[in-house]
Amino acid sequence: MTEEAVTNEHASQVASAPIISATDVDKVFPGKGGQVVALQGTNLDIASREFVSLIGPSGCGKTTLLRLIANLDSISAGTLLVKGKTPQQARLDRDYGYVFQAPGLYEWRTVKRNVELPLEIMGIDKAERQKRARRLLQLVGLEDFEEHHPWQLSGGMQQRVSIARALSFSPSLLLMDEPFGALDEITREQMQQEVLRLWSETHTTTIFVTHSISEAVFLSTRVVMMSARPGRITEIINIDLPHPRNEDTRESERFFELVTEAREALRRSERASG
Amino acid sequence: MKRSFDNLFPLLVVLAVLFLLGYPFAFLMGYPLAKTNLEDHNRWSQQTIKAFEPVNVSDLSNLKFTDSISAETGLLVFEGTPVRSAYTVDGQLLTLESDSLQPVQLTPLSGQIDGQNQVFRTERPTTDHPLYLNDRLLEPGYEKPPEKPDGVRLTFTFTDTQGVFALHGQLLVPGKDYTLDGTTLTLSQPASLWLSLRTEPDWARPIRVTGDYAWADDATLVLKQAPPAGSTLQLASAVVRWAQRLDGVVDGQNRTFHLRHKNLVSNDAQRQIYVDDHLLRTQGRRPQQRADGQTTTFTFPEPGGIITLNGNALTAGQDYEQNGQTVTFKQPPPRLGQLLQFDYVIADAEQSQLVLALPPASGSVVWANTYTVYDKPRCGTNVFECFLSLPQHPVPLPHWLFTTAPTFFAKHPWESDTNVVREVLYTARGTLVALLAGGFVGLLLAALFVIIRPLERALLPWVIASQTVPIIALVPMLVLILANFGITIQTSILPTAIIGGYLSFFPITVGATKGLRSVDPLALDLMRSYAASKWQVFFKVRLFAAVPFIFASFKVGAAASLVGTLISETETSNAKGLGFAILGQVQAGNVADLWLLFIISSLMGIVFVSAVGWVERLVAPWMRKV
Repeated sequence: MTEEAVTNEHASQVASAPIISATDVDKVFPGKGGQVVALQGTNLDIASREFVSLIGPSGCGKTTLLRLIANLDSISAGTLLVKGKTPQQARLDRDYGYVFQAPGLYEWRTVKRNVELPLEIMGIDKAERQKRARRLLQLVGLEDFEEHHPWQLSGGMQQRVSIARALSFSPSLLLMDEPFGALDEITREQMQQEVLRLWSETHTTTIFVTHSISEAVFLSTRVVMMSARPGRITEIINIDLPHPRNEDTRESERFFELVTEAREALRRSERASG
Repeated sequence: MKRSFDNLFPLLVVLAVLFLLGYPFAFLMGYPLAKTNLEDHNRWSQQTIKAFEPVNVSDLSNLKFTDSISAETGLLVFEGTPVRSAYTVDGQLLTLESDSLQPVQLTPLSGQIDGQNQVFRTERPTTDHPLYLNDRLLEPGYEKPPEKPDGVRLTFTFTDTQGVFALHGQLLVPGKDYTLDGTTLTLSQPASLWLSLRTEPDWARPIRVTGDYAWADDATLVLKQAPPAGSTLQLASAVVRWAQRLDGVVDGQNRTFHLRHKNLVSNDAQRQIYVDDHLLRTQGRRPQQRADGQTTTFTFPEPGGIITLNGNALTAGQDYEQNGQTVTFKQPPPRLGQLLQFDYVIADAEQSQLVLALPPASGSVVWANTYTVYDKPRCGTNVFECFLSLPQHPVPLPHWLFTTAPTFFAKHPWESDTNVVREVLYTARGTLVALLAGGFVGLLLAALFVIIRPLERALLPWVIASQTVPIIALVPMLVLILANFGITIQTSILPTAIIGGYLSFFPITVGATKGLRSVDPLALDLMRSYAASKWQVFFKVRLFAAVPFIFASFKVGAAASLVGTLISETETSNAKGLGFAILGQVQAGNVADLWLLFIISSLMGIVFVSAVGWVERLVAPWMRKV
């Protein structure tokens, strides 16, 4: 798939049906002590170019939902369509890039070769691979670290490489599972800024799993509240903060209002399930 | 500075451990042997206790001895008979109170006393009469070689080269009559057997004069040193000696006596114990019949005596009935049992306790002319000294290894096939090939196990079973089979590769399988998200994730290959390689060289394992962070 093709496809998606369409999705894990219901009756539509955060307590199924979309696990019941296809087809079509909580870089590859890996697997020729990898590393500000090995980078830098790698093949969907969970507050805020910049530059629909209310509010166009036992969606908040967002946004009145609203919504859903 | 210390530190630790633990360990391992040397009488030096002659016999009424004497512990013996007439003893002096004894004649020996002549002629008395040089009593002594003369033989071996050599009553002249090579004496012409037929056979072989003099034939005395001109050399006409009394009551009933020196040597042919002038024979006498397990009645040459069966004294009346020369046993002695009749037996060698067959009549004297005892440990006075004096320590002392090493290397020069460096190179080549063979098989099996899972369950039991077959049993079989194909270890590296590879492929299989399976699940999820194929996962992720495991298993495999190669080298007539050298030293019982070879093979192992580490750093530079 060439870059142009991806962009064209991306453009055609904008106007059409939702990128993610989940209807009554259940996920049940069989276990020794009986079944564990990870997700129940999940309904969620995500449109193109959206930035949706999934937030909720541990065990609410937000990571499970992400993994179902990525076809790393399969659904137990219901319908889940990714770009109108089954998740498996979407995975085989390489429709998404996935960023895990841990950077998950291959330590035997240099930074550049890590970014090249998905392209290598897709069978793209070497010159093209290197061109794209270089461009993406520029995008995440790591062009000077191409030939470094992962262990020579800080945690934040590693996570940026991991994001570059997920974006290397220009997927129309970016799935991020608590990518900044292990980072310190300052790095975290820088990374959030960076992700927003990437999102606005690449127009990639992003689903972002997080524990942090302020992170969810700052980044998202919509925040999906989830609660545990069984995992389900309880509420969805629209975030109407203007773009581009920056450090001033974090100190704006509206930001605090939305954070408070999200927090109360979370408490409500906690009580409901409690 | 800091860095070089860091590099040096492990070496220092090794040396410190080697030295601190080496000595106690070597002592611990050598302790049993040292203790045996200290305590086992058979390993002690021997001392012959003899009745001794007075310094001067010209005046029997005034005898002087070299040592203090006491009438309680000793007695005067004249020509083998205790002196009955009264004498008094005072220190070294003895005074006879009457002239009851024949005066001793001193006969000057014929021959020139000019400071040169060492050979003197006189008729040899039946008993060894003392020889006096001026007033000094001379000590006889000679050594005869073990070889028997046959009229042709030229070479004879001695234990030492000190002293002069004599043959047929002639002093041998060095260079003319004989040459010495070490302790081997070579005569210029064979000793005549004809002469020896005429006389005692002993004179037909050369003797070495070890004492002051020795009889070289029945009429010739050879002195070690020529007597100085003007001195007198006289042979006494009778033997006067101060002999040792045995402890024990002489009351006509007691048969148990003790010698004054402890730790009697049991098999001592020179022992002479007397009752009055009667010599008790040390040799036992056989009965006419042989013990066949059925015969109960035996006829001995003499009546009485102590009867022993296989060295154990029997009790008359209980074990047997005696009637003159006829002895009737209650139970037939076992077949081939050795029955002997003795004048006396040693009841307790350590206490030097003797039991006589007949109780000496009251008023008689029991005395010893000569006997031999174990004197003291040859090795020292305590275990530690005995340990240090061991000719070969089972575990060598650390410093001793360092002093042995140069001679060891000098013993095997570069040109020699047994040169250590060449052996090491030979073994290293075998180990390398074995490791490559084992590595290839191991990696192949591991890859198959991971790619085709059921194969692991099918084959792993066989792989494990292969390792339970003792390699020692397998090697001869393999060598035999390969020899049928014309492949021998002399002509091909294949047997070594198979044996070493056989030992090394197992850890590599297990390690690599584990490594290929031990991929981070996250890495696999990522590959899945890229829709990577099974082969892409294998070659881009599994193989790399397995690298640390593979190299760790190769380190184990390298050591196993070395062991296998060493074993394969012991199995052949190849006569090459460290394994063969080790086997040779084991058979030669050469502990020092053996330990050196052990150390060399351990160093080889260290080098091989480190080499795997170097390759790892070369092949997998990302591992540097570890």
